[in-house]
Amino acid sequence: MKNHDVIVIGGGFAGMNAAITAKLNGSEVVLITKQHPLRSHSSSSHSGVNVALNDGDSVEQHIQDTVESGDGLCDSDLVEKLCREAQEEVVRLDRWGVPFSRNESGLLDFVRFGGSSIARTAFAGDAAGHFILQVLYEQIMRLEIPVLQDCLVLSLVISDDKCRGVCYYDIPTGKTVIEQGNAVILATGGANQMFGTTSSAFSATGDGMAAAYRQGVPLMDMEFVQFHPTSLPGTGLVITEMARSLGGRIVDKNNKALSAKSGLKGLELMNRNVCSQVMTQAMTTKDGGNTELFLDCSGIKKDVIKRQLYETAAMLKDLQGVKIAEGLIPITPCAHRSLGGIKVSANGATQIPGLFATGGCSCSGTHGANQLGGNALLDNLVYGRATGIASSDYAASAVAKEVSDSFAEDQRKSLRNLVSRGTSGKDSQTAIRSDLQKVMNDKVGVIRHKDALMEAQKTVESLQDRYDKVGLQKYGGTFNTELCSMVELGNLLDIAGATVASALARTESRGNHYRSDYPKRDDKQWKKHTLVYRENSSHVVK
Amino acid sequence: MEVTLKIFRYDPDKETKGNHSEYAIDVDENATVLDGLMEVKSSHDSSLSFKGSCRTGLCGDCSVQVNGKGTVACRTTLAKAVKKGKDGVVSVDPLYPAKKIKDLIYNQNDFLLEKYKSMKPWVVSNLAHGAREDEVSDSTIKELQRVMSCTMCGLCDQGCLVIAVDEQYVGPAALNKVYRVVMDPRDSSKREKLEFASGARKVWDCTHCFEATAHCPKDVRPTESIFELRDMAIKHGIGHGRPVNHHKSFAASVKNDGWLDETRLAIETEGWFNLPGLLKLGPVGLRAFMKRKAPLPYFLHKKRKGADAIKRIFNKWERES
Ligand SMILES: Cc1cc2nc3c(=O)[nH]c(=O)nc-3n(C[C@H](O)[C@H](O)[C@H](O)COP(=O)(O)OP(=O)(O)OC[C@H]3O[C@@H](n4cnc5c(N)ncnc54)[C@H](O)[C@@H]3O)c2cc1C
Ligand code: SF4
Ligand code: FES
Repeated sequence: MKNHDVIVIGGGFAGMNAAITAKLNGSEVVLITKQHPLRSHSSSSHSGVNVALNDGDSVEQHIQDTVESGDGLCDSDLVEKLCREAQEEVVRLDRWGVPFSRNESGLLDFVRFGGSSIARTAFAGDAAGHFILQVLYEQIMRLEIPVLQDCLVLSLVISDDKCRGVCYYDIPTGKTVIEQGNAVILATGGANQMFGTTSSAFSATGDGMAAAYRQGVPLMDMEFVQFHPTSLPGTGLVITEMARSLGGRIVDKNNKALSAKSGLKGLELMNRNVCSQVMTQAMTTKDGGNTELFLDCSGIKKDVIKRQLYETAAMLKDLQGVKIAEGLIPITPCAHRSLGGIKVSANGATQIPGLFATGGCSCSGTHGANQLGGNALLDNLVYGRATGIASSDYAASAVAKEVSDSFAEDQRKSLRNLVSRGTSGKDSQTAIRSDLQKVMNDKVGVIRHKDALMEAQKTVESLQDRYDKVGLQKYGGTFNTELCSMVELGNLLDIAGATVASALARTESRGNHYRSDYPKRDDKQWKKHTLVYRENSSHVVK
Repeated sequence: MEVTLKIFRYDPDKETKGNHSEYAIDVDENATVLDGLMEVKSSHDSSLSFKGSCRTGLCGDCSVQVNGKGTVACRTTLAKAVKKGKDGVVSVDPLYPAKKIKDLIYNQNDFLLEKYKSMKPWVVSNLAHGAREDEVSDSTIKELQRVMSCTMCGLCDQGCLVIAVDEQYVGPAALNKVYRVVMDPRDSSKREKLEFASGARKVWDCTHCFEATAHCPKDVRPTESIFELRDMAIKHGIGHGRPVNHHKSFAASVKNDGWLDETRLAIETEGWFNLPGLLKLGPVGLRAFMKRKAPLPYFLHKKRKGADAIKRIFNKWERES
């Protein structure tokens, strides 16, 4: 069997950047992904990437904003690297052809994002993610990095305590096979499909997190789920922060600004966690019912919309039949980004030699309890690159060892088991998924409480029991997407369990984790990260 | 809202041809076709296969035919689709003419993505340039953003009349991506890209039918990108025989006489010294003559009234561009 130097799982920003770096560092690289790279979740990120190049800005200021936003939990060395290397990363992307919008001098233009003290986010219209993804894929093609597409990675191949490859389900043919390599990078993105209202793509099902978790790798800071303040109710599709940066106001149905009502001047551009928490409180009536909030963009000029909000305007027109600058757009916070993930060091290494992780599936502690808008993409660039180099160096000195097909056979057996347990009864994987999304929305949302979290824990456990009883129509075959979503649901249940356990453990409020029963930050007990381990079938927080 | 979807179902592991099945669903007012497919999967048959990822019109994954027309499923509401459906039923099929794989999944790779890749569509830049970004005007960037907003949804290739008769033609989506590179001021590989795009079954095979632009759900205007590529190729002295001759003769004829000299166009397109090509024109000319549709012989073609004004417009345009 061919042994690769580096196997990258995932074709979003982080995976492609890591693959490009490892290749340029001299490694032979293969990229495996369950969808074409251009279809990755990263394509929908709208706004842009932070870099301290604006007049009056400095790397020091960027560091300070990042640390303040992280609410006492950022690792300062990691923040320093993130902000110092931003210029090199963003300029490289620009040279490769990302059409970042320009100011009158022809240099990068910036908008101010929530939590930033100055306009620091380089943007490209309101489709930076789409452009960046395209340009990274162009470089993947230029470097002739082979892409194995429509391959759903199921598990890691660990032999002699080292990671030596992955086992995946080839969706077009229905075969379960092994790809062997010296180093594996997981860049599989987040898990926010466990929530009903989310900005995440269908693919964000925590597959990489679950694969590492089952091998004993801890997940770090899983309680910190960032909620984006302005998404469309029901769908979770995001109205970019740029809309608020350009003058969009959060208002009630009488067009009264929430900032005035709450006494928080400039609420729209406060950190996302603050904004989402204030909104959620305002949306809950005294008797426990709900009331609506809206975004009012009528103050934004037409030419500004044409330059910086054209994609958002088109989406609103197609989906809601409304003009962005006319009338009030209903909004609600949505689950946007899991800050937690596979615990990694500064260069993406996990505790298993040969296994690395980067991007949305990983957590190094850089962003602490809340991540500054525009820093996620930057993280994917800076740390995607660091991980690419580290994995490539590791691969160069590793000794390859043939792995046995028994790893694949184990996976084939467990997939076949899903069929043999039958499809009788009324229950279905889609019903379980929808119940999971509902409980995570209702009980593990912006404002949390012990009682609700306990209820969520119980429900997730019972959903796991239900999952163990529902079956598949068949194993294998051409594009058996029913099998794929079943595997993904299994991963979501695991990650939801880990998230709820972590949220229960942290008995304080900090950053994106707000507990109404512990409304204060408690540095004495909790100025630390949580680590959750899978032990037998429970989630143990340490 | 209650809707009936009539969906193409096909399982290659069981059958050689597919069939349509109808599913009644109850969805939200603002639900999209993609939401409808999810609902069918949920409430009727979890084995239904289709593609989709971002749900917001940016990843290009979810294109299907809705009521026989290529559409981005996540950006089309069922409420709108119902109005256009036959008897209020919304039909959903895979994109034509891509090869069908399973249900609504079709071969995006052969139809679209491999063609894109085959055009070598990447910027070659000098990374040792300095610590700051290159200066580029915002208007150039804005234009680049427009052209780059292509999501590779494939709808232009579906509408393309050349692909309909020659599936090897690289198609408007891939050619637009070449234009994206050569129009980028940071790229240093323009000539190479233009030469490559001038090869067989590429930029010169377009028939100017504008179907690509008409089918595009964005403001990408792929047909215009092909025109721009041709202009750039001609400016770089890169030609591809007949189409370039045609282009030049057409412009020269209008510039000099104020209107088209069809005989001259036919001859100059083939080339004065291309004997086999010229001989091929004989039967065409004869048939046209029999039907009294033959244009005037070349030497009898007269300038039209106002030709001088037209020439001045040409000259001005040439000076300014
Ligand atoms: C609406 C929206 C707007 C955003 N805006 C911004 C912004 O303005 N600025 C900013 O900094 N950040 C923003 N973000 C966050 C940013 O998009 C993410 O941080 C980033 O996309 C994460 O990239 P990734 O490469 O880690 O993951 P993804 O893009 O999710 O990529 C994961 C990849 O892994 C593959 N994969 C997953 N599971 C498997 C498996 N089992 N087998 C094989 N392959 C697998 C997927 O196919 C995919 O290719 C935004 C996010 C959203 C949703
Ligand atoms: S040019 Fe338009 S129609 Fe063609 S693939 Fe791109 S977005 Fe789709
Ligand atoms: S799902 Fe991404 S464009 Fe429709």
